[in-house]
Parts: sequence; C-alpha cells; structure tokens
Amino acid sequence: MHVSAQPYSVPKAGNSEEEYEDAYWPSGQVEDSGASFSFAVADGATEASYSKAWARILVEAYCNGPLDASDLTERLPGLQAKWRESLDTQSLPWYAEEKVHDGAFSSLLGLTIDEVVSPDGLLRVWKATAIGDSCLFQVRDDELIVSFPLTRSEQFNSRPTLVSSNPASNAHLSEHVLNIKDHWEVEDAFYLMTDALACWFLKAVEDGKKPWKIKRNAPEDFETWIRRLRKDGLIRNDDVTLFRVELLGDID
Amino acid sequence: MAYTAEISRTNPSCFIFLIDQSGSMQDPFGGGESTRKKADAVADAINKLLQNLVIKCAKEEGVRDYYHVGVIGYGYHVGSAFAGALANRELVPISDIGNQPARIEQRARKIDDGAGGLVDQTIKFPIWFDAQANGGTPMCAAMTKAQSLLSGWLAQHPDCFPPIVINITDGESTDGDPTIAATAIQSLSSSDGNALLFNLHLSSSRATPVEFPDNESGLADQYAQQLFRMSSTLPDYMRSIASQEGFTVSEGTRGFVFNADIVSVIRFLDIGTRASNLR
Repeated sequence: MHVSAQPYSVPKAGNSEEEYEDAYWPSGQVEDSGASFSFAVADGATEASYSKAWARILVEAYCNGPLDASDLTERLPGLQAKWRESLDTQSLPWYAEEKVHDGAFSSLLGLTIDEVVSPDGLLRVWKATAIGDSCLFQVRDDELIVSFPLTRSEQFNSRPTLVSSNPASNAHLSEHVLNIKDHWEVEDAFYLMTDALACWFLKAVEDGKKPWKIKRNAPEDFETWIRRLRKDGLIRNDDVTLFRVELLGDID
Repeated sequence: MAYTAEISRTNPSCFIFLIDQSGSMQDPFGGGESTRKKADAVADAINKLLQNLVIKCAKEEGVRDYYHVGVIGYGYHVGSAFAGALANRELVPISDIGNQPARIEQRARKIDDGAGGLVDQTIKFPIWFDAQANGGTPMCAAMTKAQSLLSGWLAQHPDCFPPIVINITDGESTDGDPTIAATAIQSLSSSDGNALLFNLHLSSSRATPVEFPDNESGLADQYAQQLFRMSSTLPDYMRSIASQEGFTVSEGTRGFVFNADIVSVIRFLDIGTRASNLR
C-alpha cells in the first residue's frame, strides 16, 4: 500500500509553542509504500505537569511496538520509568514536588494499518487502541463509516479517564482501554484528532456536514483555519492536533 | 451563557476567603471528646484550600496566574490574614502565594504504592495562615470588605470568570444579619455571571457532616440554615463536575458544607482537562 499522511498542530490560544501538550507520531509527513504503518496522537492533561513529555513517550511507544490492552500492563512500567528519568527533580518547589508525585496524564489514540498476504489473497486490515477522548474517524466514498471511541459530540467533557505516569492512578485502566479492528480499502482516509477538533468534527457530522473535506492545505493555513473556528466559537480553545492518513494502494 | 468564560493568564479570576477568627473558635470542633479546636480546623481548611489552588495552577515552569486570591480574617480585626511575607496584602497573584508561604512544615502521609499497599512519604506542607481566636464575629464587616475588594477587581476585569468567595465560620455573626452583605456580594457580576458565595460551617455540634445539600431540612441549627440560605447555588458547569466527582446534586444544590471538607470545591473549577483518575 501507499500511504500519504500529514500531521497538523496548533497550541491553545494564549499559550506558546512550548506549552503545546499534545503529541503525535511519526514526527512529520509520511509519503511511503510498505506493508504496515502506525500513527498515534495523544493529549497531555492541562491540570497535570510534565504531560507533554508523557504524551510524547506514549505516541512513540505505540508506533514502535504494539501497545494495545494486552501489552499495555507489561510495557507501562518501562514507559513510566522513562518519564521519571526525563524530569529534573533536583530542588523543586513544594508544588512541583506534588505535581511529580501526582504524575502526568494523557490520552492515547493509536492506529495500525496492515496489508497481510494470506492464502485467500491480500488482507487489508487496521486496528486501533484508545484511552481517553482522542478520536479516530474512517471515511470511505465521502461517508463517515467509523467513529472511535466516541461517536457523539455530547460525549466530550473535561474529565476523561487518562493513562497516567503514576501507577497508583492506573488501577482501573484496563477497563478504559478500548480496541477496534476493521478493514480498509484503497482511497479510504483516516483522521486522528485530539478532543477539541474531534468534538467539532462530530458536531459537524450531526449537523449533516462533511467535515472531512478539511482543506488539503499547508500547515500554516491549518492554523489560520483553527483560529477562525475559535473566533467563531465553533471549537473549544485547546491544543489541536490532527493526523490525516490517506491510503492510495500501490503506486508503481 | 453564564459561567463559561475561560480562566487564563490573560483573563484571570478571583478568590476571596473569609476566615472567622473570633474567640468562640477556641471551642472544640465537632463535639464529643474532640480536643481539636475549631480554630485549628479553620487553619487546616484554609491552608489546604490555598495548597490545592496553587497545585491546580502549577505547571513545570512555575505557577500560572489563573487566580488572584485574598484571605480576609475577621475577629478582633477585619483585614488581610496572611502570615509571613504576604502579611497585609489583599489580592495576591496565585504564583506569589505558591512561592511565598509563611513557612513549610514536613508532614508524613501514606501513599498508594500502586501494588495494593501503602508506603510512608514525607511531604512539604506549606503554611500561610495560623490558628487565631480572639474577639467577636464581625461577619457583616468581613463581607463588606470582600464586596469592596471584588468591586475593584471587577472594574479591572469586567469579563472574568465570576469571582468566588468562600466564608469559613462557626456560624454566629455578632455585627448584624450577614444575609444583606451576602446578597450584596452575590449581586456583583462580570459579563460572565454573578459572584458566587460559598460557606463552610465548622461547628461544635455533633450533628452529621453535610456536603453540598439542596435543602436546609437536615441542618443542625439556625446558623447552619442561615449559612445555607446565604450560599449560592452551584452553576451548571460546577454541578456537572461535582456529579462526575461522585456527589449527588440537583438544580438546588448549594455551595454549603457543614463540618466536612470543602477542598473538593477546588476540583469543581475548570482550567482545562483533568483526568478523572487523578485524586
């Protein structure tokens, strides 16, 4: 298969680029042929500290090996250790010590697209894993065919269950790890989004619109478009991340 | 729609805590055999409220000034009740509060080790306010002081998320009916809604603790009932978070707590995504 994928990101209005706490992986545009591709987006929680580093660790981990419900428990301790090692915890003020103790929190949405040779021919399959409110949308023939894990705009709130760098906060995590598997066809498109844009997307679908007709623009135009949505009150002011993945079949 | 303004560094909101420091606060808290004074319960409540508010606003680079905060004591005097470097200051940016406690004590706590057990941990416990109990209970004067501070704040921040006043008392005003001054606070507004007044009643009564009730029928005495009536109903967004946090709420639920922990109110504030599994 041939994949054409492009990440887009805009920090919350009023925040600097350094304060952007979403993450995505791979780190740039993908224009490649192969039998398997993985993509991930994550949304570090505002109210925790060091969430940006945690979100980045999670998206990289997803793309560098399986990270679904069954192996999450196994891999989390290593990822949590990596997060702790990334912190400079020397002589922190009292409130920063508390934040380190509480741990960082992030959503995670990962998508893996495979082309598998089988006795029955070529199988085109994909699977995704989600924790929290970052969403995946699959579009075919100008119709939305999969919305995962949330399916309605009213399901978004500011209190999702997220994956934590603090083991004590992940006691019931396995109940919140959702998995899905399905098939893909040439010319399908996938959109991975963090919550603010995903909520806008589902609202637009509910209003009978086709929000996947997001202009295939350069990243700076994406920022202008998001600013306009914010100005018009159509999207909550938050970090915004989109990974658009288009499947083009084989290109000889 | 009211109570939807974004709380940010460019559009901060305001908190005022009113702290009863009257002589009656020397009495035991919660009745029975308790030797703990109400004044100590008040000091714990305000220090924990300030801690939680600072932690809520803290990021890796420091404390973001989402709030400006005043702590007004009322007893022998009515005025700023900060101890240490912040003494006599009225409305203080939350970053200054985070960085300038009067002192930092070491306390022990048990924490979840993530494997079903508990381990001991020593933590830094900042103190801004020490227990005091002296003089009458000039609650009306304290509320009038809060109203004056808020009028000035709102003139400079007309579009802010509405200020919140939290009054911590053992209930009995000695300078008149506080209902009128309470109504005056609640009639102040920004373009996003009216100021909110919540009350924490710390009593010597053994009556059952109550958190965020929607009627006064089960309350211990006339002072609890009066403080309930003086308390604002929780706005929609707070009610929604309170419900997600496991509290039973209705449209009549008020910001009133009797002999219990009011720190949960800090969790009802929305400055961005907060994991539901963060406790």
